[in-house]
Amino acid sequence: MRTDLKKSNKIWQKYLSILFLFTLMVFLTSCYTDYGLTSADYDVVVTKYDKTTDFNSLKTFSLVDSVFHITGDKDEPDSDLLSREHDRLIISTIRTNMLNLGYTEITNPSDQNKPAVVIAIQALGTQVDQYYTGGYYPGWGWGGWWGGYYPPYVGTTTYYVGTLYIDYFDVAASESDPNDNLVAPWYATINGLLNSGQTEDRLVNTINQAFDQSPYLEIK
Amino acid sequence: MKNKYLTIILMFLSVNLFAQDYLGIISYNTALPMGKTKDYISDYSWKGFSFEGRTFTNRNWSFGGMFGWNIFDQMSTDLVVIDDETTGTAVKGTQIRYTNSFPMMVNGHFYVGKRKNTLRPFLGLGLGTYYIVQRFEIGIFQREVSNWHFGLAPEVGVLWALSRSTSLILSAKYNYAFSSGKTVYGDTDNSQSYLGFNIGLAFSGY
Repeated sequence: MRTDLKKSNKIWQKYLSILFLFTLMVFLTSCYTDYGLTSADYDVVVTKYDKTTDFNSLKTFSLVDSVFHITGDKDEPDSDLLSREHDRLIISTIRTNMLNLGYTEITNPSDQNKPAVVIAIQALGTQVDQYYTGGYYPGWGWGGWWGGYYPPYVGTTTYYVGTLYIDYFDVAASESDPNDNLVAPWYATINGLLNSGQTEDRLVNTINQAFDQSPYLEIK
Repeated sequence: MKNKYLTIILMFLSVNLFAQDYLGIISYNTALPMGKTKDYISDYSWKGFSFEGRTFTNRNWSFGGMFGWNIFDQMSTDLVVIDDETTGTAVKGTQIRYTNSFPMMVNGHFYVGKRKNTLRPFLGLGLGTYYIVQRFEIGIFQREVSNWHFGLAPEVGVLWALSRSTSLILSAKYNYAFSSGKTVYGDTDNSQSYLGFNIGLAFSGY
């Protein structure tokens, strides 16, 4: 009987080990799920608006005719990291959205024919260098363990990030601002990986998204 | 011969006297998010485990401590809206959300029935802390907050004896972590709760 009990205990000890290993396995393989993200999944659209602004009273707009590249050098209009090939697409997509929301475009603004809103577009390219080290090198040994080692440096990865800023300036509020600041009651920031394919589709989709998630801009 | 029988009887007596003086438990834990935890991640958690030790003070009561880890994670493309009095912010993008909860508690349990019963239902209460880490990843950005919470965890379960020293343990445990710090969105109401369903093995020590 005693032997049976011991045997039985051993069997359950074995089950414990299996359960423990199984638990560990589940953790090691699935703690951080691989969601299989594509470059479009890294696109982010942020919009922010001032709740005190009556957007319905701002019915006309003008659009700048080019995308301003933020270069950090006022004499250098073009960023090394950004191309100009999508400027027209960006501007036309914004124009389409504004017209769909019920705004009227003023194509030749002047002092006598001022728009209520000016839309300005800026773009910034950023190079991100990421240094990473490999995993812990467990070491090896004969006649004893030599101990582990963290390689100090394994490699780098570089990626390029593009950010598009769409600013919606209230002309009358900016002109009357006591500090001469431009007043932007709405802006959108679109951030994504550059040079990662499907750029035109991603630009159109994210610009449309910025307006879609801002229903208060609509003129009723 | 007489001595031999006496030895055997004494041996069994001692086993019975000290059986289940200690319980060592390893459990696989799953969890249903509730309250604010569910607001952030609604998916059921299949990832968790805990280690626990219990000492019996008499036939029906044990006291001990536990350490656990529950992982909640979810991919979402929901629009995140953050409003304050004068501004409204909306963020759209593919997000990976994580909540890691590490309960560390002392606990007491009351057991129904006799030790030799195959099934022993029990009720318990844990008191202690939860270390909770929330992470929010969107695009190339991430934000992480971690807080220590005071918490409590009432539990109901059953020990199912598989052998003299080994039992299967099944339990449901409500975990409540009182509000502490801010959520990953900056919300000051940061209470967290989830209902854990646990299955494990309990080993009794003599």
